[in-house]
Amino acid sequence: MSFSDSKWDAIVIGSGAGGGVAAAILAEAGMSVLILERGNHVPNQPVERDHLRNHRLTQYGHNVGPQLTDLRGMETEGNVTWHSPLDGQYNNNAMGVGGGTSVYGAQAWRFKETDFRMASHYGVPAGSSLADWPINLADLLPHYEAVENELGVSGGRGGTQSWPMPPTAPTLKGERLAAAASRLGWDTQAVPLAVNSIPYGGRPACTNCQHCVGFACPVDAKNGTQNTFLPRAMATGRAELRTGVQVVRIETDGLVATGVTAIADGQTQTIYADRVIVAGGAIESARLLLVSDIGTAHDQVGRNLQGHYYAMAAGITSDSVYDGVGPGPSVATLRWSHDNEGIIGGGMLADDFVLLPIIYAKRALPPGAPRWGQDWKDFVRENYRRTLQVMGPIQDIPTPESRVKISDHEQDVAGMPRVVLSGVAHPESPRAQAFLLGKAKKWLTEAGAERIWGGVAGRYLSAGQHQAGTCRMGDDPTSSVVDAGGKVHGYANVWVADASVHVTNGGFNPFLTAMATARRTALGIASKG
Amino acid sequence: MPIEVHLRPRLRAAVDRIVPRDYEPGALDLKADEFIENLTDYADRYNAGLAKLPENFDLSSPEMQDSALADLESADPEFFELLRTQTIEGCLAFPSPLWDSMGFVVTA
Repeated sequence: MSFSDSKWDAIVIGSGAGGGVAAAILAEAGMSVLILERGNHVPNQPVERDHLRNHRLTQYGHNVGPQLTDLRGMETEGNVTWHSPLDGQYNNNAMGVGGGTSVYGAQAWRFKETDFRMASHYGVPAGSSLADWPINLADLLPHYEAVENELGVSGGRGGTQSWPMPPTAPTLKGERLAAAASRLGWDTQAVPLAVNSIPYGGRPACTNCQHCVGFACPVDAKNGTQNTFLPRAMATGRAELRTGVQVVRIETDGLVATGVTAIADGQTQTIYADRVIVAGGAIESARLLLVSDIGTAHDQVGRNLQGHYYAMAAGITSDSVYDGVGPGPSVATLRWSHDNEGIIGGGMLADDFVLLPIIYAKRALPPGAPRWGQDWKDFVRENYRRTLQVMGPIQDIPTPESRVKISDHEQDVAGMPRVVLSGVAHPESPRAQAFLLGKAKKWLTEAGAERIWGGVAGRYLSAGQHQAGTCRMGDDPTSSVVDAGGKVHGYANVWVADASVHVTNGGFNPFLTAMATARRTALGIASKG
Repeated sequence: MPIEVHLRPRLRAAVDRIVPRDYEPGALDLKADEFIENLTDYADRYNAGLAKLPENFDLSSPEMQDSALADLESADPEFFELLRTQTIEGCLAFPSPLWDSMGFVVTA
């Protein structure tokens, strides 16, 4: 029987952080659920692999989609240039079963209370669309806690929160930085990671290999929806996951969705459902609503696109700080998350994943370092193990001009209007980046780094893997797309359940908040039957 | 279209200077030239860029080759950057003796 022969209780579009969680909750609530994923299964990979097929370095191809034939436009002063997924301006997010959670770094941070109250706390800077969420930390706390337990998060040591697993292995770099932070009077804690530090959920503990972020875990110790929530949904016997399926339109009858039109195996199919849950990531979810003309009455869909500026600093120490113990991030400070003089918001700072030699050589050498020849070779051999990095995501300040639109004349191979992105980050984002960069450099100096570098970016469109905000949550339909329960304003049965609904994106990696919000949304759907 | 046959000696000589052999393997030992030749989408750019090196480049002394590469870096920085980064990619993308000498050890 074809999946289009049935009428489903719910169709979930996308199987990543939000869609995977929503599918499990709805299936366990007794609903028949069809999960439509545009990408494919991502195989766990051997440890010794091609470092170019790495989601952090997508120069020649991807280990997690999208199709290289896809293009997105970038509009600047009325001119549109077209970019492939190998180009940073495409603002790629992973596409495959589990979405980004199959290859992510898995930093599992909760947002802080102030992250939900940015406008009230700081005021609204000119030109921004900064706003409060219609929910607060207390509303999400039970969902954060449930997701941490159901997904499997390691953490602990130094924070006030407890996690289901102890921290992953400490590292030499982390110990060096923790000692330095202590001397500076900065509190630190372990980095919470959705990685098994001990056997958990029927999967083994992390082997501390050097290939974590950017790759699927070779031993399946990294926890994403592909090995947690999606199998739970399947185990109910009521859910079905179809890969390689592109939803091109949500079909409606007035303000009621009746199902979707999708391209599967080259065939156009209409699939009927009582509920449609959109979870394709902030760019693709907005695209689908725009194409379907859903939630567009007040021109809010696609606006407020945001990701994260990053503070990234590195330094060279006099002795080796490298032990190669993965995943790598082992110490963080939240000292600069909020209430920093002269800026709005702030961010978390932490040490980095084990740095692959190719990324070190391409991106992490200091200004003025030899670029080729014997001097280059000597330099990388002498300094790779002495290089210490600190980085962290900055709370982006949203602007309505950073947005997702659809082309009125360019279509993809499925006949769907192509995405056109436009706008640049609000000036407050690079200001906060400069502030955090200063703190990162101070931390490295205290840790013994002698030659320190790291710069501030200009204003650019901030989206990428942490993309969020394009279907923001709010009580006012004229300034938001979905209500506090994730339902599109005015529509009876269309919800958004990914980071698109984030009003602000925190100074943290956002996937745990996307999962917690999706869980809250899905339970709300289920409670209404 | 592949890199033209008569330009391949220049490619081999160039990668050999970008990551030279010393007491450890260099780019030629690590087959970075073959890595680049297999990137067929870039062949046109290599054919145009390598043609800017002196005709006797591959037969020149290492010092003269370094000088010619420095000239190329000034004259066509975009191509030189492509050549430089793809040579390094060919040396470091896969398990390599340079991983060991840098201190990157795969343990699990």
